[in-house]
Amino acid sequence: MLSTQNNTHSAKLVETFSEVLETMAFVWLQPTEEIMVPENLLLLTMDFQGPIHGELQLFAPQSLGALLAGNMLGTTAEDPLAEAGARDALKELLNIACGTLLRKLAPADARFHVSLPKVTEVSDREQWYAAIGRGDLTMLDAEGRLLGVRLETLG
Amino acid sequence: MAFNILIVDDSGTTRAIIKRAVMLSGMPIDKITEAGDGSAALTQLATRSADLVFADLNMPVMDGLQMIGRMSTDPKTSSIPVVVISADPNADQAALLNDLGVRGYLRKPFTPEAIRTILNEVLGGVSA
Repeated sequence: MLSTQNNTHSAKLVETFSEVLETMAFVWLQPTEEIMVPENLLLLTMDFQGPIHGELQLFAPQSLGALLAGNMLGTTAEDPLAEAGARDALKELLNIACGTLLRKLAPADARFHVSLPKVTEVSDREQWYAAIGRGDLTMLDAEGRLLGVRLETLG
Repeated sequence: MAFNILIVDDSGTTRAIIKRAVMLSGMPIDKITEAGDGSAALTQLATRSADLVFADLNMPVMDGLQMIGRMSTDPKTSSIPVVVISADPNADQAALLNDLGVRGYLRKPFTPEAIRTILNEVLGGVSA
């Protein structure tokens, strides 16, 4: 049975994504109550198996990816290089956040197998609002870009 | 006197960050090449050696562990030092990699200073 313990893990999600974004791309995060669907929204997911298993989900706009890629590459978000690297930067954000989060949640001797990050376009706004309606999406503001993160665990 | 570095990671942006950090490290660098997975890296190493390989673990086609295993059994590549840079959640991974002869382990997210430190540790006393 799939369960969402997002509220329980919300603090860890905020801590993890903050730590990763600050170190990786010099981007600062803060929790937000904003819910307006961002433009060019993407859904990134990674699943994991181990003492806990489930999926880490990240809803993020393409523009956040461009900001990250720009910062990582030493250029601006508007640079075509940053635009081209946007999805890759978001996948890497999820990859690093997943590893960091699992180490925070599991015992030191836990062993996990993690998937490669997957990315899909969210073309239906209802998918975003349904996710918010479930009440278990942690909403974050990354320097004006809205993102939502959720940890779903099985069992 | 300058080193050839191979960066193996399926993330192009991460390869770019590592490349920048290597170039800014102060080490004498001749060439930096890149590969998106373990198989592409081994193909490169078959024709052009490297003085150090930075390797991610979780990659498509061939992952980092498989690549490191293949390198260790090939006389052409077994002596090339490998530094793993990974988001892998397994806390004991560093110890396991040490048993495979990996010379360093950096956890993502990493700082450019960490790259500089590990380069100095692994290549600092070596003449290319």
